[in-house]
Amino acid sequence: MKKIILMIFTTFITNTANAANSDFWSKSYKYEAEGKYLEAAAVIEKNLNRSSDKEFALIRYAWLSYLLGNYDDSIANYQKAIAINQESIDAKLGITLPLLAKQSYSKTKRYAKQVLEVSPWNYTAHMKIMLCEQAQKRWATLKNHAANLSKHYPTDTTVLVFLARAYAKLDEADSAVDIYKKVLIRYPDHYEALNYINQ
Amino acid sequence: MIKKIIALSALSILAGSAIAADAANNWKKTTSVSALGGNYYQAYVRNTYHGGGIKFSGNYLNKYGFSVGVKNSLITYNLGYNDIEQNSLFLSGRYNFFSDEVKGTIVTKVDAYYIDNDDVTGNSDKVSAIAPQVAYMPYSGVYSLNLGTAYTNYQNNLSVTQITPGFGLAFNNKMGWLSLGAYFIKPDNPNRAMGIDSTEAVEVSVTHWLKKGEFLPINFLTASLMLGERIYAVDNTSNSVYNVLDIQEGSVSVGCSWDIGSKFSLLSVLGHEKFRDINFNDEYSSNYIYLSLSKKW
Repeated sequence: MKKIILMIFTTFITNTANAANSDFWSKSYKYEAEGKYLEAAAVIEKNLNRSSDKEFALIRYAWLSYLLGNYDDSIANYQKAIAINQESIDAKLGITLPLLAKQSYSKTKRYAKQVLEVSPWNYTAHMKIMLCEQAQKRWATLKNHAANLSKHYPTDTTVLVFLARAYAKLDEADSAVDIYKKVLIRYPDHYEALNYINQ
Repeated sequence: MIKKIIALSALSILAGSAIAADAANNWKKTTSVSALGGNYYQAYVRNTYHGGGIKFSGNYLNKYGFSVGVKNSLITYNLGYNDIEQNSLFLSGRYNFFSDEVKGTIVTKVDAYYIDNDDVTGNSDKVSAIAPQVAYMPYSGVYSLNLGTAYTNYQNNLSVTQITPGFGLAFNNKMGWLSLGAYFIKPDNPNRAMGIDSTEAVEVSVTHWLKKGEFLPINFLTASLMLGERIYAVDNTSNSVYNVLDIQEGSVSVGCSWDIGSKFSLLSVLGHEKFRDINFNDEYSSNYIYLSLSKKW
């Protein structure tokens, strides 16, 4: 009899713990959807060391810290997640967000390039690197990079916008116009393309 | 020696072209052909000068680059003084650092010059100069700080040290650029410098970029004013060494760059310079025109 009572009690406790566990995730997502990032982060933070999925909790907390503008916290937690799982493309792309916000372009590129080592034409990683090249005004580098990426993503508008911008900054106006025309085929009201062609 | 310089430069230019051809996409190349002509007004000794040159520049993406150029010029003299014909070689290498710590680009650059002429005194002949420079520009591109140094070695017991700090500022939504620079020049032998042991000068220049088609096919307008005194200066902007002695007492210039199609541009500059020759107690001026036709590859 004692055994049965103990079993029922143990099951009750486990179920309650699981419910509480899944409850904080859904609470956090609900708060985030409502734009309450502080509350969303607080829920995760409280359960950071108790969660059975610590890697996920760290990435989620790092993301929410980024949304709150706490870039150093965000970077620190993404780094902890990477330490747990070196293969995590999620965390390596995630950390580029606060690094870009802090204008740490060399570090951003370092993490994005780690992603490219395992996934050479990863779109998001290339985008992060191109954002750095644009911010650093490395127009010649950006031009070559965007031209190469465009071969792999020929329908993509954003890559073409980067390419056109680079041509424009390099005073290669004819090439810039050609590329902006391709942008307009894909996105007819693209403001930047219309503006450049009509200037 | 003159032949050697020209041969060396031709080889360097060909080598540069070959390198560039190998990785055409990664190299941005420019070849410029320039001509300079001017006269000296109310000068006892000097009469006219003219010259020409060619320069090749290559930039590998935004990381590094080099330039090599040669110039030939002739200064004609009055009062039976011998004319001076000279050839000069210019070599330059640069490397850009992109730093998260200072959130900007640090450009390091070293220019080197060698000048060979037929000056019978030898005073302006076999001149070598080296000019290391460093500049910082934040990624926002709204200002720049730079520091240039130059060490020039002359025959007959003379070397000259120069320090050139500078500051640049963007204005008018980055369509304009104001730069302010100073020249502190110190010859180590006043006997070879008309008794002068140091000179100071400031240079202000303004550049305004035009939108395409705003006014003729002009890309930018520029004006420059130099006040103070310079002697034996190394001008990092025009890549010139003022190796023939006289004191430069100010200058003003205006110029513009014309786009000729999408690959060619023509820089034209009109200038006026004031000089002083202490040996003849002579103050004189010079008017010049400088043209440089560039082709991008």
